[in-house]
Amino acid sequence: MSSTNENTQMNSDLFKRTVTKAKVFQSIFFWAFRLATYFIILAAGFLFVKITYEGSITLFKTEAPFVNWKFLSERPQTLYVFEWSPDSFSEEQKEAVATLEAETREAMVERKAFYEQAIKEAEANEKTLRVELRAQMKKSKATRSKIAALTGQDERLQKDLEKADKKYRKLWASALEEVPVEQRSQLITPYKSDMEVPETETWKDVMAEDPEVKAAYDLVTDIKNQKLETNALIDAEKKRLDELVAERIRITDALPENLKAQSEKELGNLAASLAWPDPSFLENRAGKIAEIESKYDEKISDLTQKYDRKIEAATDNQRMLNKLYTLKADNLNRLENEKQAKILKVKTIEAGDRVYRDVYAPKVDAAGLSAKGYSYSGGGIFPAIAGTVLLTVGSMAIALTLGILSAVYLSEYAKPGTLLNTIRLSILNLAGVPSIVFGLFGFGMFVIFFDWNVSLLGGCFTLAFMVLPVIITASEESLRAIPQGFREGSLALGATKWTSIRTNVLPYALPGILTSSVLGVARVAGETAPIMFTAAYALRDNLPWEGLDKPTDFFFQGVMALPYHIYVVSSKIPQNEYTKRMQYGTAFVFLMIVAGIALTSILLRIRMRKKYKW
Amino acid sequence: MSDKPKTESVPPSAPAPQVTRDAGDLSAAKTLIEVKDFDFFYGQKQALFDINLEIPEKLVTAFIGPSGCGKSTLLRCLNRMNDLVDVARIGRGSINIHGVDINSKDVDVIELRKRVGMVFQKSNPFPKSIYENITYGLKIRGIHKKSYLDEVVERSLRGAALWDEVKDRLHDSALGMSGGQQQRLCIARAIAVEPEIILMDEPCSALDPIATAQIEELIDELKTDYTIVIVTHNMQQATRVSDKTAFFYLGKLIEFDETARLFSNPDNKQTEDYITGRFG
Repeated sequence: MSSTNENTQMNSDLFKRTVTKAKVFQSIFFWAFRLATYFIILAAGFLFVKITYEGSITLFKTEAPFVNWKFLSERPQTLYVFEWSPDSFSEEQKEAVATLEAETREAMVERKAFYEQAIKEAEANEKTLRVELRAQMKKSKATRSKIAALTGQDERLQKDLEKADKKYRKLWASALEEVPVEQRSQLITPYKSDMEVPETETWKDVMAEDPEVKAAYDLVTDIKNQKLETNALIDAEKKRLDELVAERIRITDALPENLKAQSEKELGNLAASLAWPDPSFLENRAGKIAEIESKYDEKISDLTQKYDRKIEAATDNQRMLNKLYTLKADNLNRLENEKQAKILKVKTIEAGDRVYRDVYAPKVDAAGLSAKGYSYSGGGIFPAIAGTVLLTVGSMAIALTLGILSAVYLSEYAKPGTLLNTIRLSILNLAGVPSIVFGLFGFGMFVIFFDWNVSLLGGCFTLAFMVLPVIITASEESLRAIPQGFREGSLALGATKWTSIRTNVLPYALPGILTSSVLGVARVAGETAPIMFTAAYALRDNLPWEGLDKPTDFFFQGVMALPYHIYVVSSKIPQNEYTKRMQYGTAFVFLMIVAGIALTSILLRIRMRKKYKW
Repeated sequence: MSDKPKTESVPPSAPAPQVTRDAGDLSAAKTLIEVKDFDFFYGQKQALFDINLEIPEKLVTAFIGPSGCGKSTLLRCLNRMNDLVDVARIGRGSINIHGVDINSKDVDVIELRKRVGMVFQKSNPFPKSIYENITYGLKIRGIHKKSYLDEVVERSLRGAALWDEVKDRLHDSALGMSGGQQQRLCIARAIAVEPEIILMDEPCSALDPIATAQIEELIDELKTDYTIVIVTHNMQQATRVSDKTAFFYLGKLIEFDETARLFSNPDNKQTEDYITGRFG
């Protein structure tokens, strides 16, 4: 009996749960890992939700079409905010506004007649105008080519000058050796870059004694004079070109279609200014203000009653009473402030600078009011969107081309050895270089050395160089993942190495390469530092494809970019409630664009995977 | 060498392959590949020592020997596949095909590989359709005529005894085939470009007995048109398919003789030990 008991005793202990040190540590670490992960997810989620929520306020609206297209399609503007309450105007103000309106009406009639007359005349003269315009164009083209030729000549002269100058300096230095040391001091800086030589006695002596130095000096002087002449010619031609351009603009403006457009714009502005403010808008406003007032009055009375009851209950407790009185006053104050702010918001009008200048400004000025301007807070971010897309597409095109070529070389052609390992290591190290360093590299290399200035191309190349390490490393990995049998199989059939790579290696490696480039796309689109010095403008009114003299200008112009725009609006301008909308709106749009690009790459990859599956 | 050695080099008196097991007939076969005093290195390590070997035309020659004995290395030297290995180099000696040293400077390795096809140990069909797999070798040579390609596909698949099985799904992925079919597809792909010599590197090592039997039958048929060199681990296979057998051990050629004689009456003690299963 006892032995069976022992057995059961032992058996019940066999799998009994015990607490050991190792188990405690195990559970501590398990929770540490788990909490760390949750913390990261929460933090990222908070940021994402915050940007989405605040950005949605800017990007979406409650009425149809529900999307604030203006924010996506307009250029950044200064936002003008002013209060317009005609019922509280003084008599003078009212009079001034009335006078202005009368004047505007008159002006409308007058301008309309003027434009009608002008258009009629222009239509009659259209043919001559066009002929004239063509002649002007020809002239300015000729002048341009003349300027180009002269500039070329000037550059040649400059080169000659540098050569002659070098020779002269050399001769001068050797001539200086012969001059006694005590006289040398006045000659030690014979001239500066402007080639003004102090004509001291010693200099004259040297010139008289040494015909070689004299000849060199004469040559320098001669070229200098030629250069001066050329420059004078260039200036004259430039002046002529300016005149021609002004003339051309005058003729262009006088063309009937341009006159029509101008008249439409001017008359439209006048009409808009006259029709403003819309009476229904003022009426609605009264309604809205009343609504806000009643809502807040209710809240205030509720609060007052609540505190009064509490005060009554706490009759004897002096300390409690003091505290309640303070609280009541504070809360009532807060509500009152909120109410005033809301009412002010309804009373004020917001307008971008163009509309303000054309439509509102005359009346606001006449009434003696002043509008507050908040830079960057009005309009939209279209130039920044366009710039970011161009930068991303351009830099990825460059990076993929260079990266894939180099990865194919490294993994398929290069012989393994110390050199290859060094190259690989350098590429990997490049991935860890801070992006601002890439920005400075791009600034030195493309902006200054290649003389591309702050340009789209410079930014694309800088960004491309920044993601190259990622793309090369990942491409190499994808290439190495292709079974050796594919290469051997095609080589054994008599394919050349390149044919085998082209038909049997690259197509199967491409999905992997594209996957890795998704990472690159997100990084390229999001970087601020590399484009800060190389491509980004804080503000540029023209869109990249507007106002180009010649097609190549497209690549050599600065652009706005979303990340840089976020940086500017959140750190370079005075902060206020209006800039906040721009900040969050831009950040939100930016997130969506990056997500969109990444999604496209992923879809592309899935399609490719389906096509080339093994 | 002439452009069409295949037709010219067959003497009218050449014996029909079916009866080549006969020792007397075998000696009459003309030598196609001649390996002379051949040393081969991987880096510092010598893989082949002084190999001398004459591989006859339109017969099956088998290389046997334990793992690491250099038989695959020699096979890969025959179409210079070892060029792909960076550390590989030839120490001494030469390999002549039709009397031409294939390692000399003016030999175009692409031309060599067009004449010397190869089937690998692991079947490696490209992840394309069956049709594209077979036409690959022709397309990279710039042949794109549809009717000709169709004809070659049918001929090669029939040649590889695969036509009846896949004729209805030529445009399906080659990866959907069974292992044995894939290996026969690789053989079809190799014969589509009409080489003279087919090198087979343990073509049946990953296949089941039935697929192996099919491939062996195929080898037997192919030797009427092609010179075949096969590396195998399987001694039964060597006796079944080959006319001549070379036994390698530790990078040295121990014995090379007609298969029937080598397996029944080997000259060398090591060969005897190996074929009787005493080591290896």
